[in-house]
Amino acid sequence: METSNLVEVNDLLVRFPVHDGKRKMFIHPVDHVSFSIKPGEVLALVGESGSGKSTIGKALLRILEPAHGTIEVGGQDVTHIKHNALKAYRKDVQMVFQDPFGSLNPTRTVEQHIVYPLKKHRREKFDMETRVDELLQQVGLTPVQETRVKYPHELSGGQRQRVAIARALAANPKFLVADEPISMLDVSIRAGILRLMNQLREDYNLAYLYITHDLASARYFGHRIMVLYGGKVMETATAEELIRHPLHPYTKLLLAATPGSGIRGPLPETSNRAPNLLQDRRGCPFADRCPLVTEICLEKTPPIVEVATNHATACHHIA
Amino acid sequence: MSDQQPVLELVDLSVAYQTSSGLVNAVNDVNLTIFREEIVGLVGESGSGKSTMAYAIMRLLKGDAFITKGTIRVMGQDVYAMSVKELRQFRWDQMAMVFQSAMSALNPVMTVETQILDTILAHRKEWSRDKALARACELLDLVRIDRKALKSYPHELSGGMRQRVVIAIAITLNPGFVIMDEPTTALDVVVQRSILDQIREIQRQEKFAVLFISHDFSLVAEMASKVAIMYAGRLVEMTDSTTLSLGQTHHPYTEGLLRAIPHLTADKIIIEGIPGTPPNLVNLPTGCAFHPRCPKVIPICKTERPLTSTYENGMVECHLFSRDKEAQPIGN
Amino acid sequence: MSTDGKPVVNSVRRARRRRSHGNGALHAFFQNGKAIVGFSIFSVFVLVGVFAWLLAPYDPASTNFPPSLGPSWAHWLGTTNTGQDIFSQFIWGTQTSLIVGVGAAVVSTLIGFIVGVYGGYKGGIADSILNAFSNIFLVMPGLALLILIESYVKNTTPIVNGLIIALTGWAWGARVFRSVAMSLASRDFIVAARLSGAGTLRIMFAEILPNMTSQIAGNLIYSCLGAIMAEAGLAYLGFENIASNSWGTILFWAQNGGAMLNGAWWWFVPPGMAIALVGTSLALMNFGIDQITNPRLRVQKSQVRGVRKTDTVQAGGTRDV
Repeated sequence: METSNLVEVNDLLVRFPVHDGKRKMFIHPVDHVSFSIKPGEVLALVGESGSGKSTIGKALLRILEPAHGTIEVGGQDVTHIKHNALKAYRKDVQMVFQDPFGSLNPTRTVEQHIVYPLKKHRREKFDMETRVDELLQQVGLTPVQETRVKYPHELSGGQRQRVAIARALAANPKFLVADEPISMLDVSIRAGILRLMNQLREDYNLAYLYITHDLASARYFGHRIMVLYGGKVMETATAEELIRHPLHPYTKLLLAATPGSGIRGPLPETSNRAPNLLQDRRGCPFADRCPLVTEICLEKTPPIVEVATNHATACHHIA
Repeated sequence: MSDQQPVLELVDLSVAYQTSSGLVNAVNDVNLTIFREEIVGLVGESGSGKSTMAYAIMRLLKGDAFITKGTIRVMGQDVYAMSVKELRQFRWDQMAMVFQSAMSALNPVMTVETQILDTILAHRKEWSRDKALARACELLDLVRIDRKALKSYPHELSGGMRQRVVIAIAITLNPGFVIMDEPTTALDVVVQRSILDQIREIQRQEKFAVLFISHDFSLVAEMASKVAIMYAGRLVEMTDSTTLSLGQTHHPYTEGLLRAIPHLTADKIIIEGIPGTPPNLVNLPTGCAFHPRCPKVIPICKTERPLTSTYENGMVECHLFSRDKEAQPIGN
Repeated sequence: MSTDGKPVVNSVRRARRRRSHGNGALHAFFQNGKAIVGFSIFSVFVLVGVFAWLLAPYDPASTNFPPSLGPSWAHWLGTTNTGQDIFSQFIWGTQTSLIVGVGAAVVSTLIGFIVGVYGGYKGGIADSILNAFSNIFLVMPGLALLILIESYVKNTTPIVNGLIIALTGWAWGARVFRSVAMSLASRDFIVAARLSGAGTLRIMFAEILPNMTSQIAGNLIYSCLGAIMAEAGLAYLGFENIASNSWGTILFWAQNGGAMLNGAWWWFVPPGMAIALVGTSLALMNFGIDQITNPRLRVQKSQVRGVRKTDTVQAGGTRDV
């Protein structure tokens, strides 16, 4: 844990302006979040819509610039880098998108999608044609020669996602942000994509930030799971530990609600209000839905406390 | 079971689309019976024809889609033998549908109240406005939305609330049969779960039958008592959900699907996808449509379409099953 | 793979050529009867323009002929009151008018594309400024502005006129391009291109441009039409070097020479007809553009050709919903 974190995020804060009548306000979709990822490790970010999980991914890729905090990747502080430094940084960090229909340019062929990042991020000499073939083979798009010249609309959703993965790999990254990469695919091909990502992790010692709403796939693919709610970390633990021994009331709620949990009966929540993201909110973001809520939850933000080895949670009523 | 009155009866139903490349069969020879108060799940991937089937039952097929064969009876009445006027009365009164996208099912420029009242008054012309309003309030209580929401426009509600309103509108007139086409797919898991719990509760109270369409196996297994699995327009397996959750299914496709999803609580998780991609309906493989992706394929699968075999817990369309059945009579 | 590298690469190249995206668009364009008619008419004019030096029997400027003749074998469209051959003027005028029209269309579309797409893609302050700028050009009355500029820039050649027309007429296109670019900019593939290391220029021209072919073609057609009309109008009003030779100047001289009063229809009808015909042909071609706009149409076409066997989503899925 102490040695060689590939990604170190410290006290990350992202804010967006909102116009609330006359006043200019800010919301904090990501509110003081810290985590780290080691090479070859998969951190699964789990949360509902509005939890800030995708925003964290965008901040890591520096599609967004954080308002506060630091992001270090491979020892380099990338929080506010620009231009050439940013371009160089993107050799190390790539992304797999949720919607395989929107993430490929409909007017470009498969090979065009892959050749460009190959050229752009080339570090050593290699034969372009061979490298394209290798990549396509690696992501399971065979026969390669047939696939190369196809346009996105000629591919199925799963095949497109494989092209997107090959494109990300072309930059030869150390770290991939995968934002719900399987949620829009057919059930029968989801496993194939997950297994492919896992295979690539083993082959290249790739680290992943796996963003998902689905605890089951987070458990399968992630080494650790971080549960987010309202832009804040609720609980972090190793995947198995989090599923088996959830501590935070929100994690418990999520688990109970996930199909296949076997948990029947009423959900452990007191309302179904969406989290408040405004900058001036106080206390625990989950307080107004939490069955354990007390006075202090509404007043004070609970600190993240390590309750066991590799298991931390932010709740006033635990530990 | 069998002496009960069926709510939905599909007999040899086939639906085709007229496309520029000829007729495309989206639904093929589907036989399905749903009895009173039953929840039947229908699982399939995109392009499997599950939604087409739902639209055919509702007689909502549009444009170039039409029924080529078979009959659809809802509450004992042939849906396609009705006049348009009868159909308009029958739809919503006897059978209703909950669509996937609540936003497009609701009219954005009308309040929730107007939309519910319009539905009621269109079918219950003798009702007074007050009576209809009372019913609307009752419905909102049923789906647990604050009555204040009546005055809201759809965009003022959250996704979960909107879907609850859509469900309320579907059951407004106490239909005997409701089709739910991926009613919670666009929602967060917690909201999804609470809506599904509600659907089950209301279903028990109001005693209607449900055809629950979804791509999510574990969700369907929790919701439904029987589950039908559709592949390339055909019903390939039908079984009860206990059998399904125990993994005692017979069709290789079902087995593949079960292996393809990570289970939340299973001890060891090994998942594997089904190789290949779902077939193109324009260009279906010969024999069993699943054979190019099937790990247990035998020569006959490539040439001959398997026949439907029924057994006590359901039906399956697979050569392996009929071969095994010949070898040893089923019954264990 | 590398063992049989060469033949493979060749076959890839061949396949690429056979199924390039642009061909699909062209194919769709020529599926449309109106577009074919429009294209044919326009092609005739283009040929006339290109081969003007072959087709024109005389020097259009020469005044060596008897003045004010009617149509005859020697002078198909007669002569002017100063003894010039109108047919030769018409042929050379076709060339000028087309150069002005096409040139102005290309320049204004390019400006509109850069302004609109840059703003739409970048957003923020750049977009606010560029958008305000295009709005200013949009609200200014076109012809009045042209006349104002012309009265400062005296005796312009048709080419300069074309430039002025382009420089004042790009704003409408910029608006269209901006809105399309804005919707494209939010698509993931643009983000992916950024992550692949693409700069703004590449994203504008390699990622966004191919997805706007129909808007670009439509804009080219409309601004070409507009430019031909505007140029003719300016020349007719006398805001062009009267020694130049375009359909507009022919009309100007016809008016000056009293052709309408004398009933010398052969003088003013041909250029008028030509302007109307080119306009019609451009409008007809625009119908074909609709065919390109709808990618679904093209998808189905390729299905018929049996290219695709793997795609289920399009065949069943989209209808399935």
